[in-house]
Amino acid sequence: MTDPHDDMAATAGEYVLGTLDPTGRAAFAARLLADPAARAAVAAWEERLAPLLADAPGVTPPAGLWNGIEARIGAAGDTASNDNRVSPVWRGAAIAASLVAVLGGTLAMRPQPVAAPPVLARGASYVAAVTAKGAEPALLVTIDRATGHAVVRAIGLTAPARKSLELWYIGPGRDPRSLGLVSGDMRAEMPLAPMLAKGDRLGAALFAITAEPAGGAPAGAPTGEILYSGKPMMVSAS
Amino acid sequence: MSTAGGAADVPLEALLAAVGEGDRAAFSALYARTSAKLYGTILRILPEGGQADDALQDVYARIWHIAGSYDAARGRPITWLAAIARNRAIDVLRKGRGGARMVTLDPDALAAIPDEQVDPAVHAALVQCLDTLDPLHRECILLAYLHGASREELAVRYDRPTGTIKSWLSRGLLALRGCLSDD
Repeated sequence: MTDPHDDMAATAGEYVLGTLDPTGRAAFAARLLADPAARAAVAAWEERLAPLLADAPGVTPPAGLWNGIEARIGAAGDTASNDNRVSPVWRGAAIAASLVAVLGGTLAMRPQPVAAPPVLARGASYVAAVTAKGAEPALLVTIDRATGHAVVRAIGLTAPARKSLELWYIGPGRDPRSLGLVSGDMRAEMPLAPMLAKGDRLGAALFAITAEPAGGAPAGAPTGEILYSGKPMMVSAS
Repeated sequence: MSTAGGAADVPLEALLAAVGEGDRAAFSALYARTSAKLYGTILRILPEGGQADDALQDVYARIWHIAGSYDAARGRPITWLAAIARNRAIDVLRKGRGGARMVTLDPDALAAIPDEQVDPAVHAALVQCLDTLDPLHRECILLAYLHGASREELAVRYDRPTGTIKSWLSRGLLALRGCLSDD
């Protein structure tokens, strides 16, 4: 099995089966963030094997579970019609107090010390670690819902020759919005609220960095491929 | 989309889209339509009720958050939802693992009549292709997929090194892919 395409297909298949060892599983999960081909390979395996789930006997869950789910998504009393399109989760996050632990999701699965403690938004309620395939974070974004501010902290970012690195916020199903150029170990605070006011679920959004012509993408939309990406994770308030 | 949750014949795609917009009635309808399937899937991997209950709640909380990111180009809704459930169950299983479990394959696992959400022809093609695999490779794939068996558990079960199991899984998967793409 020397064909790299077969290697990738087999690894994606084992990822779906769940048989990769913990390190391999975490590494492949990180790769999925940045590699559309890997995501496609996983989706293809899910689709190939899913007919087997038809054989799983359906089991009605205990009645109490639904209440637990409602409690987990918060904001009881929200109306079904939900004319107010701000996500209840989002509103719940507004109450989040101080930042206790950071780096949920993918990063938490592969314990890796971050060289220096990042500078965080005061009262940060969301954190996104923006990483390359399986690499250490290149950039951390922390978001304070109370102020609508994001703190962006780059960690040793180096742009390719004659290029600039540009950071984008990509709301679920939305076009990327530029957050400006990033480089080196820069730290910047910027208002994110204008982009979030439409009820975006931060958990479904993405921060991404692309290589653009020096000075930034000319038309305000990304032209280069995504070098780094990361999803915001809600930080536990407790 | 405020009425999406009411009708039982709304496509799951539409329910997911409504959930992505924060529609709680749609979320409730999605749960009613899919929770038995996902719970059954999780229970095969986490047979102890308590763990499965927690996992199912995690899964639906996650679905609430990410429903808006469902992309029809990447598979059918039920496949996408089942993948979220399987991934969560496997993560819980791997974290909580003490020693290796002894997993066994239900001999009727492939005999059941597929439900309405799967095209019977697709199901038949998969079963047929699984039949062409080396029996050991097939069993490993099924034990892993249906019951969450790890490489280590399979190594114990078949008394082989984990490297051999990895090789069986890889060869079995690639053979399966080849067979399915031959039709």
